Amino acid sequence: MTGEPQAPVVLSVRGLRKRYGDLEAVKDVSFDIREGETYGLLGPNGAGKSTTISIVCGLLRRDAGEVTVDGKPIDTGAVAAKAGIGVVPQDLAIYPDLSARENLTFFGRLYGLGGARLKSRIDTCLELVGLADRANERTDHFSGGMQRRLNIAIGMLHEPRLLLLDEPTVGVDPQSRNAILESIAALGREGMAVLYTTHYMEEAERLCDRVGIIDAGEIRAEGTRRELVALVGQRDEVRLTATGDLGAATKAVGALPGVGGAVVRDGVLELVVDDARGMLPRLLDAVDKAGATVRGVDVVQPDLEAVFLHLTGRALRDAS
Amino acid sequence: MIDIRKAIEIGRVNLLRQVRDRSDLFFVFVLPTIIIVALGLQFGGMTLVRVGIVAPTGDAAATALVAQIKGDSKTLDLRTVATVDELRSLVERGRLEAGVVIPNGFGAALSGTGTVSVTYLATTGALTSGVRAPIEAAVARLAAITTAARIASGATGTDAAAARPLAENLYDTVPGITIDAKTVGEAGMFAGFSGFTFGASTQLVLFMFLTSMTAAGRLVWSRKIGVSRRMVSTPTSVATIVAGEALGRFGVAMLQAGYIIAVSSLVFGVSWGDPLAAGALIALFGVVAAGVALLVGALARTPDQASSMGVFVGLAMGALGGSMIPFQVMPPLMQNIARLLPQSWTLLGIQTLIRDGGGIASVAPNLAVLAVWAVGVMALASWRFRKAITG
Repeated sequence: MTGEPQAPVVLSVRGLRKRYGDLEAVKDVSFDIREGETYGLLGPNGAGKSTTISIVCGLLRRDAGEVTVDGKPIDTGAVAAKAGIGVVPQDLAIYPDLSARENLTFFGRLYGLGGARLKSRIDTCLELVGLADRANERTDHFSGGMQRRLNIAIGMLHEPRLLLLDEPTVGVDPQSRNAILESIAALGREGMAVLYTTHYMEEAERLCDRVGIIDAGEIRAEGTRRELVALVGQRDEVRLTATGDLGAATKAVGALPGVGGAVVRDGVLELVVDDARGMLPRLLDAVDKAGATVRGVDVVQPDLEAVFLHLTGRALRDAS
Repeated sequence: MIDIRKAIEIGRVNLLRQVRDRSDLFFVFVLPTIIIVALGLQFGGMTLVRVGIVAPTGDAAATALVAQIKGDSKTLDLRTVATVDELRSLVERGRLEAGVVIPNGFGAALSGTGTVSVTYLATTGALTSGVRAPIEAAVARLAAITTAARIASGATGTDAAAARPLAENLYDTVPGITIDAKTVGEAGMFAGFSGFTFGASTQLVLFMFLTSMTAAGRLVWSRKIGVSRRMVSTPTSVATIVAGEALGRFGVAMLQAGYIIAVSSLVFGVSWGDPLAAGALIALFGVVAAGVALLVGALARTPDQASSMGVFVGLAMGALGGSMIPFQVMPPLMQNIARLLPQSWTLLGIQTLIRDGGGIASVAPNLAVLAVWAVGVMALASWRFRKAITG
């Protein structure tokens, strides 16, 4: 079989394990990210995403496994190899009492930049994240979204081969989130390999070329959106807007044969079923008998949320 | 391996953040100045002793005795009082430290043959007993001249009034008995110091340490918001980060020292002795202060906790080390405790340079102790801080 030559692998993670006491936070995690590819780790809080990123960027010692960036092994002591990695942590890791430009200058120097190149990269990154006109303001005067954008600018300042973003849009307003996602998409197009962790299904679907669904420290499935949705098979996702005893209704429909998962969220029963058309009367009957009243019915295309529900039996956001 | 350029950059940013913090500026620049001025005025004023004089007007001998008492003393403030009763009242109420009563007809009585009494009035106390010495010395001189004039008058049959000028002229040329007083052991509390010198030296040591401690809170904040971990994620070794953070705290301590030395020298005329030796003492103490700040920054969980720990450690070590209570007036047990602390070695070293002069050699033991402290505390702090940012 022939095809287009694949881009080289930038990040390779093999058999990663990390334990905190009795808790195994990362269990045999493996994945690759190629040049220009954006890979999403999608999972709820506590799934092991941040631990994985911390190990990949050499912040945390692993118990087992191997991490390489462009073939160079990465661990906590691999100082020189870290030059190829940019990190955008979940925390706003910036000095609040320095300006955006001063923060970029400081971290730029730690990344080994200096002189005209540092100045040029700072200007480029400020422009890219839309902070050029606020460059000399102290960052504690910035909105949360602006601080997040600066957080990202620091990570990509030195044009790394691999950019690690750990939930970079947490607590950000929709407008800033959109700007952040646009910036990251642009980086992928420029050839940067991006590892993006999130518990927002919409972000993973919009941004990532491939997604690894992670839960309880394990990657439960991996692939493109199409490949992952295919895991749900010919199943349909049914959403029943209902009132009354939704807890009892969820239990009742969940016990029916042909129902792959059932959760209730914001007054909506979300179900993955084998055949929506054929099962709908039985579903409505079960809900009615459980003491709830159905107000609306939607049959939708399965998405990554449905995949997570299918794989874990829980809703992604409820698990978060 | 430590990357010096990156360590300096980390230190530079620390110093920049310290200088930008307006609340810290009060503690770094304003408060030490106020305390140095206050201590200078207090210790400077304490040595001026007010002495009331009741003396007959127009009596040349009485005027001469008053001039003799005053001599070239800068510590006696002689004030004329009208009556003995008023003098007694002023001394009893503490408005004067002591009083001297020269009786009426003092000059004539000296030319006579009877005993002449000069009265000294004072309350009990170390200060007033110290005043008595120059007054007794002046009276003793006058007594010697009077005795010599009376002996000469008796032996030669000349008039005592005529013999008196001769005795006065010869007094300073006739060899007598002198007391050769030497001070041994520890120098007195304020010996050789102006009031500002004492205050500046103690506050230098106190504030260098305290200001470094304020930087410990900023270090915890950097850890809390993830900046320290972000630094570790860059191609910068942990050793470089630790060195940079330590350098930042050292810079803060030296900024504080530089300010106190500049202000005390330029405004209050304080001389700090040999620059090389004083610089070595202060630099080593700065390393110790930076190490303790790094340690507090590594151990504390919150910036508030670091501030509380820092102020407690800074004030406690300052008080025990002689920054508040002079080492020389401490009881032996407390002096032994003080000798365990870097503050006392720094302070005594600086005071030696100011009072006795000398260079590196004269403070070599102080430098050796401070070097041991610096190496020990910096090693411990580096180990703890490394754990805090990579754990």
